[in-house]
Amino acid sequence: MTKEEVKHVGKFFKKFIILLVLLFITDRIIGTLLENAYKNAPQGDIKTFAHSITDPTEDIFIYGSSRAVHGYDTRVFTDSLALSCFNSGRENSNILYHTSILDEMLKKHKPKVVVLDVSARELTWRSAENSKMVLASMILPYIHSDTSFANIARQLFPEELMKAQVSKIYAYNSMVLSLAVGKRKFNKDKNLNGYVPIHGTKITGKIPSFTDESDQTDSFAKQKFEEFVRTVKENNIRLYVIQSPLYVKHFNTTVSLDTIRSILNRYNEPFWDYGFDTAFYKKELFYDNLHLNSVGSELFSKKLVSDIKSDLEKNDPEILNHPQ
Amino acid sequence: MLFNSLDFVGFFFIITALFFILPHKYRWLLLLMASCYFYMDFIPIYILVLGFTIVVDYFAGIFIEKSAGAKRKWFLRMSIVANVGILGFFKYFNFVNDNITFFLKLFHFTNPITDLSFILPIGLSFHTFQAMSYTIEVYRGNQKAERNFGIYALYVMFYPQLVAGPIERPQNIIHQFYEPKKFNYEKAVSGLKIVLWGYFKKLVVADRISIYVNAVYNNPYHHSGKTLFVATILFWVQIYCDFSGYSDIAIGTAKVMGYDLMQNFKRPILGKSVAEKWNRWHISLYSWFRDYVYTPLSRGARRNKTKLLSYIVVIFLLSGLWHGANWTFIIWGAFSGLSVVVERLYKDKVKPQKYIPKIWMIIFGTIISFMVTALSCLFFRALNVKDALHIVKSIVTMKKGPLFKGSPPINFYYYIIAAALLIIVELFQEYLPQVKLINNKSVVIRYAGYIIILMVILLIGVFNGSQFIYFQF
Repeated sequence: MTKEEVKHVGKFFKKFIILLVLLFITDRIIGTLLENAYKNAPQGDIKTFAHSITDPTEDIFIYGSSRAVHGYDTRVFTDSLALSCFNSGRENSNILYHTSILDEMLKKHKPKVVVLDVSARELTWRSAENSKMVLASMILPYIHSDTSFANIARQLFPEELMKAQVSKIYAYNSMVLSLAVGKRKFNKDKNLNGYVPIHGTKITGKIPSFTDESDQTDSFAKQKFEEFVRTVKENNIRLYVIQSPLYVKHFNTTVSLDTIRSILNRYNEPFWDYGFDTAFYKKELFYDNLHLNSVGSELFSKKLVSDIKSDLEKNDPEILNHPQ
Repeated sequence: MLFNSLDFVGFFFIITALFFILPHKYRWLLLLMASCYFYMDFIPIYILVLGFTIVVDYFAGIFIEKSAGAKRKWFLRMSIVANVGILGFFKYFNFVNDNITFFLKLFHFTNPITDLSFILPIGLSFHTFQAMSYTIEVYRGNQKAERNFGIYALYVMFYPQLVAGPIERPQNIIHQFYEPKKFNYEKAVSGLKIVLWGYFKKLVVADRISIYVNAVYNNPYHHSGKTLFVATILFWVQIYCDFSGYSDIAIGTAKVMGYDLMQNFKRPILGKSVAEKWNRWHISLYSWFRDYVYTPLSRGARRNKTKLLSYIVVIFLLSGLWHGANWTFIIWGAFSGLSVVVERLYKDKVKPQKYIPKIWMIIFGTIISFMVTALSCLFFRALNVKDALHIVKSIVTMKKGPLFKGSPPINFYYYIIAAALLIIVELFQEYLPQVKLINNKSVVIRYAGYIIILMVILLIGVFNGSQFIYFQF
């Protein structure tokens, strides 16, 4: 290198370091502001997640994807069973997400009943990947304060963890609008202990197919499902694994559902399938082909709660006799 | 290796540092080895395909230069046949075979030849065209045949532009490999600024919008006319940012090492007419078609307007086919070519500039060009012709239904913000170039600009390492 080149390199690195320092300071300042906004989120997914892992108190916890969020009316559970209920469902999530949340919740609180809504593609690779991203967006803000979350991140998405460790604001990627403006302004629907009703229907045209014959189960998702069932059993919590109603082309089973059934059989747990229950296979009960609307979810919740009640009366009446 | 991966960031810094540490005479070797590693990171075995075309064109160049008359032409033809043959085999074999199968089925025959099962070598269309431009330029006498095999291989394989262009010309790049490059602060910073803007386009705009576009275009039958319309408009912005983002990163990384690659995009979404839009879009490809196909064809048809216009359509059809072996690309090419021809005929016959003030010509021209291109992109993105026609019908009839906003709906605002940010910046660059952010003379504004862009990338960029759309070509 010539003297002139060395001079240029020196100038470059000097300015580059100045930029990095400025970037680091800005990152920490904005990151701290976002951290505060995150911890004080008024409602929505962030609040639901935070409640599930930091101050859970309810008797019944519901887990699942958006089909759980919009399909399980917590008010019906509380009114009919006289047990408090919280819907921990999360859009685009699958068993990877649910198992992680369950583990965190059990460190602080043991509910009496856990309801897990599964989809016919619950254990596929695609679901697992989506769920990983959702889980990452939720837990990255906690990695500095909670080692168990850092461990989950290390196991499931080490690259994301590394980025979040370098940049404080990276943990809030894609959340800035929710945090800056507040979830309420973008979502007119109420959040009722995690249950978010959606109204009306937008279904038009032919009934679509939901399943894909090329689907294969993801071994990690399968392992996580088994872990979920085992954890619930070990903690003596009553478990209900459900397929809630769908408005898609009829199918008998899928590789995910077969795997779920076989694991549940091993643990002597039932699988309740309302997927194509004729009582609910009506367009007017659905917002879209996969999600019940507010009318449908109330009807379905009533039916499910009635079935749970019968089951509890028969097999575990203690739960109903001693609400917390 | 994807530009939007941490691996690439590390790779780039290591190679650039080694490049300036090494003496000039070894740098080409470093770049060649780095390019091989970069390419083999995708599917290693395909380096053999690339190697084959490099060997063929290297010797073809020398033989063309040494020969005269018909022999010279014969060597050029041989080189073109080898290049097009490889491209045709890998890219079009299954397409042609599928169409033969379809045709035979109409007459109740079965096709005995089955489709081949392989993945298309990454960037095949790009480096094949770059290789062909070398032999053509040697044939035309504009470029001396390269005797150093390593330098020629580097011309085809130079890693910044190996897999998605710009498709370089030998006159522009080969001599640069011989020039001793010195680390230059201004050039390095200028290159990194281009890289930064490229990442912004890719991560904040293209990959963000792709979430919405994929959700809609992968299920077009479930969406309303207005959703499909919004997705179509957004796809135009997405593909522009995806591809030009790649080009910016390629141009910027090369610039840091002192190499100047050709400009590939000039804000095409602000093209004031359909024709102007194409002059600003994928400049290296369309100038390739212009120089090596259109110009030779049109030489014999100087006064025949019909022929000249039909050649324009031919060029666009070829460019459609270049993009992919699918009828959607062919329709996209035909639509694009016809829209240029219709616009030219309209301007020649009606002469709207006589009646409409210039400012309105610019505004209308920009909007019409934007909409026409967005509509043509519909064919580019649709999975098949049936889907494309359904989407067109749904948009034209404004098929009823709510506007899909994504899941969760708040994400919709990210798509809009991403597209709006891009358009605002490009409007400034186009019409108020004196207003600068990262090129501002004030150090405060310049650094604020860097930090704002980096913060926006960290806050709303998508870091899922998705591929660049043009890698498939």
